Amino acid sequence: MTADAALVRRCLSGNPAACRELVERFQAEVFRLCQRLLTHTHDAEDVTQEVFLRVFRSLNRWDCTRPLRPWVLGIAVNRCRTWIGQRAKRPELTEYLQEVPDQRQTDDTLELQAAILAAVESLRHEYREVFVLFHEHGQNYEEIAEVVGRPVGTVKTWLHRARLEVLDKLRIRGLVDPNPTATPPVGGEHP
Amino acid sequence: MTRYPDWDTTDDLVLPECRATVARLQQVLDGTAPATVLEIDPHTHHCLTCRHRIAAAQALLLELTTSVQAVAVPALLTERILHAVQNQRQAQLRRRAYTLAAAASLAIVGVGLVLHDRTKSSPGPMMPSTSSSVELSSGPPPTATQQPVRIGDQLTKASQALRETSRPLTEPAAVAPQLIGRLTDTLAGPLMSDPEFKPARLGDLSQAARNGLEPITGTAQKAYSRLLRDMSAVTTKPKS
Repeated sequence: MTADAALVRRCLSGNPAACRELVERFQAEVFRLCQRLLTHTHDAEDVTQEVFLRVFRSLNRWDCTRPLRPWVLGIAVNRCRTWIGQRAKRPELTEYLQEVPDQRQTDDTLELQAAILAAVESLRHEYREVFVLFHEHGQNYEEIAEVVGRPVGTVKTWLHRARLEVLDKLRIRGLVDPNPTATPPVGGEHP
Repeated sequence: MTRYPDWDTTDDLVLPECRATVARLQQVLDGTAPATVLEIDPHTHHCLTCRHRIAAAQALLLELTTSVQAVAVPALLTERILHAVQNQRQAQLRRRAYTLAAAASLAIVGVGLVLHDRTKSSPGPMMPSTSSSVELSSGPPPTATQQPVRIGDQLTKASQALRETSRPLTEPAAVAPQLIGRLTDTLAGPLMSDPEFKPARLGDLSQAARNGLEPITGTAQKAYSRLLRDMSAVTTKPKS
């Protein structure tokens, strides 16, 4: 029996320590994912809680032959999609009530960070999901395909298009120097 | 580069001369090719757009690395989640208990309905199966022991019940039991048990009847006298 299966079995038997262990193991990743997909800290907290409620409710349906992490992240992605759909139907809050990033820029780095965040957040949600899962959660194509419930080829298409959109937005805004003095390694940061 | 069946390239988004460079950039971002492939790409020396793309990719990856590290989980999130999970479990237990109770109630009602239907469909009164079998096996059924209803007895009982009632009665209503009692005493008393009662003989009946037939017309009285005379001539003793 895998460690995941043992943990799940203990959770299903009602062991509080096991429940805490499961929450602590995945909550940071789930919260980060929700925050990046929802772009709102309070929403991310609420959805993270919903995700774990759903995880514990459906724990007996988890296939113990598969890893637990993609399953949990898949629930998180689905909850974020639902939340985004519900949020779109709700009346828009006034700007001062929303958590908007500080628009004052102290230097070019902060401006670049804000522009990248804005570019990622402006992606359509399927693109943003695969982008965040790949570049921020270090998942490969197969894992993302399992999480989002799409074929690997579709995931790859979405990710490549998402990247290109983000890069083009940054390029159009003129925030990057096309002639750097030294070329840093591009692919080395991938988790 | 791995080819997937559903994979659609981004060729439609880039110029034909940039496609090879963009494909290499994607490989680098995938982590399947080193960054040096972009440095030696001759296309980047004369394509400003691709140089911008490569610079943006570098900035993007740097930003993603730092932003991932910067995200911190709220302090009380764990407790909040565990509390919610515990509440959910209790709610599930409550729901299960309610469901069981509802199912048990339905079962009881169902059994009651079935028994009611059986009682209606059976010809006689519902009896336990054991006693029925005993009755069937013990020969012919006994004769009916139901007592005939005697009006006098029933009225006596009713009046007795009315007398014994503890409810306060109004004056006119309070007279009713006594009245009923008198009536039933008269009706319930067996005629043969009256000590003063003596059965009349056939010979005395004529005089008794004559005394009771007044007033009647003379013709009828003559006819009746003749009938009584003839009756007195009849002997009641049986022939030996």
